Amino acid sequence: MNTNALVECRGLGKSFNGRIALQNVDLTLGRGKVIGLLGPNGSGKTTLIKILNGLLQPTTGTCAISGAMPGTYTKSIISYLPDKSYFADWMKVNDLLDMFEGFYMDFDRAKAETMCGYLGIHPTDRIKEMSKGTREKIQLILVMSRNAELYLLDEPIAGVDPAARDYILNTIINNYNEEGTILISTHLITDIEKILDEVVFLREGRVIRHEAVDDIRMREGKSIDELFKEDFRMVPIYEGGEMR
Amino acid sequence: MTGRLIKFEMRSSFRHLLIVWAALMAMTILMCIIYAVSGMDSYAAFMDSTRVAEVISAIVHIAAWLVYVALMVALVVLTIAIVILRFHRGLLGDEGYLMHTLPVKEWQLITSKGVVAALAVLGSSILVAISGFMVVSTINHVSIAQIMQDIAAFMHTEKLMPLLVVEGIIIAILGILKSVYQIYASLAIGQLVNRYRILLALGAYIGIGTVLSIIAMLGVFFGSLLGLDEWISNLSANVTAFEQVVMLFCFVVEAIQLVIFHIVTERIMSRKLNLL
Repeated sequence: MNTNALVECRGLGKSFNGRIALQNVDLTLGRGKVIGLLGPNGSGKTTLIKILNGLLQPTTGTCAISGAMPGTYTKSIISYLPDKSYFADWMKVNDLLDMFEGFYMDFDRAKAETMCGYLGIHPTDRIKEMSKGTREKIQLILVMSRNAELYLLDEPIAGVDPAARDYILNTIINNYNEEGTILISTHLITDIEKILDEVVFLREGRVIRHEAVDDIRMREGKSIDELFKEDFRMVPIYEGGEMR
Repeated sequence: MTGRLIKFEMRSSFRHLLIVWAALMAMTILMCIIYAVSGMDSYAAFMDSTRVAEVISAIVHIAAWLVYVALMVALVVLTIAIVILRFHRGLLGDEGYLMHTLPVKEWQLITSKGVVAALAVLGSSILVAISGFMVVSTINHVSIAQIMQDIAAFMHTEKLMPLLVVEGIIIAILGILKSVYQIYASLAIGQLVNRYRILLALGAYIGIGTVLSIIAMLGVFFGSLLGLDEWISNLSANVTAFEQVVMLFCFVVEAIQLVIFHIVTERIMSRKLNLL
C-alpha cells in the first residue's frame, strides 16, 4: 500500500447479524487535513472509525494507517475520541494524565494541564463527581493533547449546547498536530463546515462522495450543509419516498 | 507496558477489596478478643452473677458472628465480582474503548487482568484462612506457640514435606490462574455475538467445563487400557516417587489448561474483537 496516504481502505465491509453497516468502502485520506465524515445516523460512520481503531474487525476488505494494519503501531499514532465516556469512575484527573503520559509517547502533559486549568479542572478532581459535559471536555483535552498522526473524533459535538460546541471546535482546531489529519464524524454540518478541508459522505455504509470542500463550493456553488441536505433528502413515504 | 497495566489494574481492583480485607481482619481481632474475654475466670464469675449479663453476652456473640459471616460472604462475592467485572467492564465494556486503543498487545491487557485477579483471589483465600485459623484457635484456647509447634511437627512428618508444601502452593496458584482464565475465555467467546453475550459466555463456561470432564474421563479410560493404573499401583510402593509424579501431573494439567485458555482469549481479542 502507498504509505504517503495516511489512511487506505480497500473493499472494506462490515455486517452485524446480516445487517450491512459498511460495504465496499474504498477510501484514501491524505495527511495534514481536516476531514468531515458525514452521514445520517446509521450510515456507518462509527463502524468505520472503530475498524480504523481496531475495535471492530472488518467482514471484508482491508484498511491501513500509515501503511500498517490496525495494531500496536497504529494505536500509537492514532488519537481516538469515542462517542462515549471511557473513563473508570474511580479515577482522578491526575490518574488520567499519568495514564496518557505513561502509554502515549506523543502526549503533551503540560498542554493538557494548561487546558484543564482554563476550565477550572484540578488534577485532584474525581471523574465520578464531574458532570457529563466536563467528562467529555476532559476526554477531548486528553485526545487533543497528543501529537498524533491521525485524530479520529466520533461525534464530538453531538448532544452538547452551542457554547460547549464552540469550545470543542476551538480546542480541536487550536491543538491538533498540523502535520496530522483529523477525521471528524458528525451529522451537524453547519457547525463544523468552516473548519473542513475535505468531506466524505457515507450513506447506508457506502462512500457516495469524497471531495475537497473548496472544489465543491466552486463547482456546485453550495455550502456543504446544503449539499448534505440535497444528498440525504428524505422523502416521506406518502410523497413517494422509499422505505429504508 | 505490562507493569504499567498491572499497576493501573491493581488500583482499579483493590480499592474496594482492601476495605473488606481490613474490615475482615478488624472483625477477626474483635472475635478473638470476645472469645479470649469469654475464656477468663472473672468473666465466668460475672456471667454467673446476673441473668442480664448472660443475655448481653449472647447478643454480643450472635451479633459478632453475623457481622463476621456477612464479611466473609461479602469478601467471596466481591472477589468473584472483581474477577468477572474487571475483565468484562475493562475490556469488553466502555472502558475497553480506552484499553484497546492503548499501544499495547492484547496479551498484555489480558495478562494484567489475569495477574491482578489471581492476586485478589489468592489474597482473599489467604485472609479467609488466617481469619478462620485465628478465630478457631482462640475459641479452642490454642496458643500461637502451640500452632507453630504443630506446623513444625507437620513439616517433619515426611522428609520431603516442605517440598510438597511448596509444590502444593505453586499448583494452587496455577489452579487459581487457570480458573480465572477459564472465565476470561468464556467472556471472550460471549462477545463474539451482538446480543445475549452474557448468556453465550455462561454457556461457553459450562461447555468448557463439560469438555474438560469428558477429556478427563477419556484419559482415565484410555490410561487404564494402556496399563496406566497398574503402573500407578506399582509406583505407589515408593511413596516419595508417587507423590512427585502426582504433583507433576497436576502441574502439567493445570499449566496446559492455563495456556490454552490464554491463547483462546488472546486470539479472540486480537482477531475477533467486537466492541459494540
